[in-house]
Amino acid sequence: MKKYLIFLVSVIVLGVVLNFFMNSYIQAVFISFMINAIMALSLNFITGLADQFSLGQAGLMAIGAYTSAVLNKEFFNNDWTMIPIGVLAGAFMAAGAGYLISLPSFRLKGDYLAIVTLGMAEIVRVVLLNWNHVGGPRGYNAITKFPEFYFSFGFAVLLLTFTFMTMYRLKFSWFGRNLWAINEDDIAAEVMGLNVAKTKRRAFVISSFFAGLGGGFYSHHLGYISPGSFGFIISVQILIVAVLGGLGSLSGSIVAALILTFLPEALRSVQTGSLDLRMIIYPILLIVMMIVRPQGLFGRKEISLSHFGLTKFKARGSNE
Amino acid sequence: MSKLLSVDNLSIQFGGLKAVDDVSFHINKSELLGLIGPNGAGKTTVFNIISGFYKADSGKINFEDQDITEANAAEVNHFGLARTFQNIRLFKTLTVLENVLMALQQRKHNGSFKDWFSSLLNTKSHQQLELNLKLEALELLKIFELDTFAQEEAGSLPYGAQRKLEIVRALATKPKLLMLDEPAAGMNHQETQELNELIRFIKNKFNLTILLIEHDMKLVMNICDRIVVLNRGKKIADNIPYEIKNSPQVIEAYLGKRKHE
Ligand SMILES: Nc1ncnc2c1ncn2[C@@H]1O[C@H](COP(=O)(O)OP(=O)(O)OP(=O)(O)O)[C@@H](O)[C@H]1O
Ligand SMILES: [Mg+2]
Repeated sequence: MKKYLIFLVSVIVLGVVLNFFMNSYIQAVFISFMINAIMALSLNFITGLADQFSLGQAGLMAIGAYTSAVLNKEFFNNDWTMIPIGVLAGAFMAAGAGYLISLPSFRLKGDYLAIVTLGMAEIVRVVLLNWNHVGGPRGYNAITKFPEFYFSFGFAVLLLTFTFMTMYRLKFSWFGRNLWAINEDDIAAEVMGLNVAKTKRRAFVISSFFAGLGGGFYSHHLGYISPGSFGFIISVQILIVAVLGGLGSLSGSIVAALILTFLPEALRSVQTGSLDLRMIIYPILLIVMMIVRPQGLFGRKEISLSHFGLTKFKARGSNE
Repeated sequence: MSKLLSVDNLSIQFGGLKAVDDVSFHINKSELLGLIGPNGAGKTTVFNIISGFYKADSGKINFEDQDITEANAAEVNHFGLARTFQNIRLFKTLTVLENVLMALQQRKHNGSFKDWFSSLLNTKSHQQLELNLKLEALELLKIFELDTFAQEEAGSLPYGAQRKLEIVRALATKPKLLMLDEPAAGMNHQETQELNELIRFIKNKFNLTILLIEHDMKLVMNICDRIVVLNRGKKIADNIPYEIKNSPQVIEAYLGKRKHE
């Protein structure tokens, strides 16, 4: 109980500090960080925990984003109190799409999911480009926004906490154990009576749900989305965050999202002309990482919350 | 005596090689049947077909009067057959305890909505279930004196202990028929003797039927109720150990072909 109280108080303090002492630009970057973290977590669940390579996270994100944006603008009269409903609907749409994708993807062994998800993301993008009702290539704008930073911040924290806690519990549950066993030896896992394909499908549906959730909120955070917001490069950036934090480490994804969101912003003052600094920092970071620490910052481990003040790492086991 | 498993006219071919050639045999309930034969005789292949990895070119497999010829590996396990592997296949980076838990939980967590939500909310009943699973796993490990290694990574165990852990893990799926593929491979004489006693012990304790592949003739002779001998994919004998020992065909098949232990 004490844990939750400390968490709640820290969040409130952080919100107050951001609101009163930081400009709206930093506030927006902070919310971007939380969205990036949700996206990295969604990928980490399928690629880190289930060891299935996915390259289409941006496509699922787009489904969540457009669903929520259109729903709120056209059916909920731009009522910002309905944003959570829209975001949730976006998550379920993405989960549905994820389910359809998962059907053909896990019949055969190998990295078929990467190919299928890559294709899916491209199809989603092309459909959106040609769908005039949602703006086509011009994008969809004037999307419902929260009227206050507090709401926006609170909702983002809520989504990130929900995402993290769900995945954390699953990682250390029977389901996580099944995923890990499949990672180690899928043949032995099958001999224990586990339906391996079904387990992977479920993991992908869960991953898709959270990608849609992150995408849904993204649309209301920016207020404007276009097919270009969800290109292949976005899927790659999400992958980079997950790899940097450590595939299989959920807290690692959050830390990596924090670093990779703020670092380019911090370097923005450096004069680079028209060059996008991220395009240099990301690859360099990845290369250094692959040499120095190929398992990512945290490997598969989690930063344990069980001992405050003491940084303890925990690889797996039950929720103590 | 009633039949638990019967295999009829099983054949499989790899390229031009008839790895299993028209093999038929059965196992009675509570029997300990040995399956022996020289290198490459087709013993492991028979296991792989029964356990749903290979699809036989022809033949039928019945388990408790159900046709399991078409069942896949996971389904076969749910019928009540468990197996170990000749080349150990543990979940190496999982702990010893988790290896057993993974097998145990397949019977306890069916993936129902209740299952998902109780683990997401970490309810009291879920914690209790996890605790019970752990206790049960530890009890199984204790039989094989592996409980002291419970928190160690399975891949870091000594070879003999890994073999034993594979048996525990198979046991944890609550089988009626346990199929062991050379469980004593790589063990010294004393370890092998101990393992034999353990196999006898679990057979009685869990009311098991056992199908045991072994290379070493001497070893199977004093533990098995009956022995089936394969040679070059064909069954050449099926009898009580005493008769097998004196069968000219078996002696001939083994002459000069015995793999050193
Ligand atoms: N998947 C496969 N593809 C091709 N050939 C195979 C395959 N599996 C087994 N074989 C061949 O079938 C024959 C029987 O092999 P099997 O592994 O069943 O023998 P075994 O009796 O278990 O021998 P050992 O005592 O060495 O374990 C061998 O010649 C082997 O090379
Ligand atoms: Mg063999």
